[in-house]
Amino acid sequence: MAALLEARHVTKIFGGGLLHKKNVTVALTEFSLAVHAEPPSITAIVGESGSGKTTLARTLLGLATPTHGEVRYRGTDLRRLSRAQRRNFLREVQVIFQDPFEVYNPFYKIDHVLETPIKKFRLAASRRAARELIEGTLRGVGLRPEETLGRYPHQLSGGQRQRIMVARAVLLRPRLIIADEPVSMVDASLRATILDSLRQLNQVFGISLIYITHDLTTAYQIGDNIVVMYRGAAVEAGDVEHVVKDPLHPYSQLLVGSVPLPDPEHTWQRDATMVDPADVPVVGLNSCRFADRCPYVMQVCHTALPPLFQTEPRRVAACYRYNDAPILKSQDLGQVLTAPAALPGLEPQTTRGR
Amino acid sequence: MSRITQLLRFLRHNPRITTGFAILGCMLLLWVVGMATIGTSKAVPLSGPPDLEPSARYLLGTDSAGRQLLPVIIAGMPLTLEVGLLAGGVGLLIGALLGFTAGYFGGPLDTLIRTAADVMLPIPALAVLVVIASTIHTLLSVEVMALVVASLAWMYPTRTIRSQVLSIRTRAYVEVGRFSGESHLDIIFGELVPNLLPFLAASFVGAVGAGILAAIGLEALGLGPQDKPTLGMTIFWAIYYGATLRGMWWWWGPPIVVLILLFMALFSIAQGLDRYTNPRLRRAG
Repeated sequence: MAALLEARHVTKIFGGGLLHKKNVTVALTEFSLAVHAEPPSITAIVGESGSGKTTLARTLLGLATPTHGEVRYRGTDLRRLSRAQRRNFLREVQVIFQDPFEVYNPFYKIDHVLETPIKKFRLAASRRAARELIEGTLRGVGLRPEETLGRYPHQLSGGQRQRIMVARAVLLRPRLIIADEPVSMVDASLRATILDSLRQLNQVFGISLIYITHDLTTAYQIGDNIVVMYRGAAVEAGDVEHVVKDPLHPYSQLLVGSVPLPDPEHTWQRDATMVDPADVPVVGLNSCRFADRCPYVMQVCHTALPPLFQTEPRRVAACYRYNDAPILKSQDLGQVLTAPAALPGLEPQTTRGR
Repeated sequence: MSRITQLLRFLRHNPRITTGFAILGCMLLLWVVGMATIGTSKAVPLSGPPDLEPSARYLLGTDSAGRQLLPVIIAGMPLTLEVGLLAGGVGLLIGALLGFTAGYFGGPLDTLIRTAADVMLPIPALAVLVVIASTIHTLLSVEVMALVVASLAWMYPTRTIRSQVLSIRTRAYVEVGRFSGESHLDIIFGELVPNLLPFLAASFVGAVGAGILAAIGLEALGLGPQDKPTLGMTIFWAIYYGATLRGMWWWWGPPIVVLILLFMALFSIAQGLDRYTNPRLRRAG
């Protein structure tokens, strides 16, 4: 069966053109990822700014067209969806954006964003049924309908606005929600509640989630799987518990080491590998992107792009330090991520402290 | 709160709009009273002795053809406004259609529309209007003249509306609308147009003013409807008969005062509308 949503060798290049040949940004390089509807999972995609996370989200949603490669919804290229297929796509794949203010049309009360999908997809038979559906969904994300409905977006807090966006996405009962940094612009005190709502969606309604973030700790809190991105490509992927506790790729190690600990005796790991990404020269496809920052850099890293080495059934890392492991074709990345039942005893939810 | 108190409150908070509508209201009142008491039947030549100063009998005097000038003003005001509304409305409608198409859909259509507007924009409209108007001189009614004016009044609205659409079509709420199942037309009319309403209203008022100005320009050159006592034609006849040199201020003065008041009213409303319905300025509750 075709995957619910699948990126195949997606490359996205910004800029360029006739006059600005040199001024090119490669946001995604040969990126492949597959999300299956069953079993519902939460995949966290982590990377620093400029790693191509948002481009990935927009490409998966069809809001940006890949320069090369394609994004497929149930086997069909997003650009070739028929009208009916596009309707199904919208019913099954929904989105939560980063900025909880920009997503509201300032002309309307917040009711508008909740009523529109009901109207457009005929989710309710009557006005009353629609109202009940809205109120029920709002309660489901921890909001009181009487405190939110009938207000303008600027009268609500960022956390409330973002939870209404969660409610909007949930109304359609999608199979997959792509959330692009949903909590990065929300007060820290409200992050946990929104993350909890997202987690509940996954568990109660069986909605898969692609959670895109720069914040390793929230990825750890919410994710089942994790994909670490660096400069437009996946450098490590696997079960979140393993990747965070025991990162393989030097960049993942750097990321994990950068998480500040609440311990005054613990000095923040900040060694020579922490280079400002802007200072790093542009690399081609013929060397490891991380080579300039890597403490373990080898000769081969400068001459060839490392493929994904599958060190464990649910674990890949794009680093030549693991070159004794079998090579995984990049389009099979989805298989690595969607096999939680394959490893009994490693179910991460049970051991995780939240 | 009732509708009326709401309206009063709105007017109190928007002095510019209030001023503009007050001036228009005074003019309307003058027109209604004038229609009821004097009428426009004396606005034609030979309805009085020529060249009379204002007096108790002829309130604004008469012109050299024997038209009584108060009835002329009363007849001319709605005609002038009609030209303006029609020309401004049609011009803005065409401009909005092209501007939304170009701005929202982009691509080759955008290039085509933008180029067409850019090419037409620097052509002095009055010169073209003079050519058109003098060619179809005999057919020129108030409505035809309005359409002639409108035919060269769409470029500026096209350009400004296109740029407004460009700036708001990439807002995240447009993308959210798409993911809520809205079609392109739903997005344009449901998400974009409401946000541009104040802008469109201000553009409309501006276009009406520009339409009146263009029409007055044509009429003052004698290229308006010959048989209608519009304000512009009155100015034309005043120039034609040398009213300024002959000191007949009552001939050219009143139409100019009426036009100035009309422009002040329109300008004031356009200014007020710019500030209106910005929801961020709306108070909570």
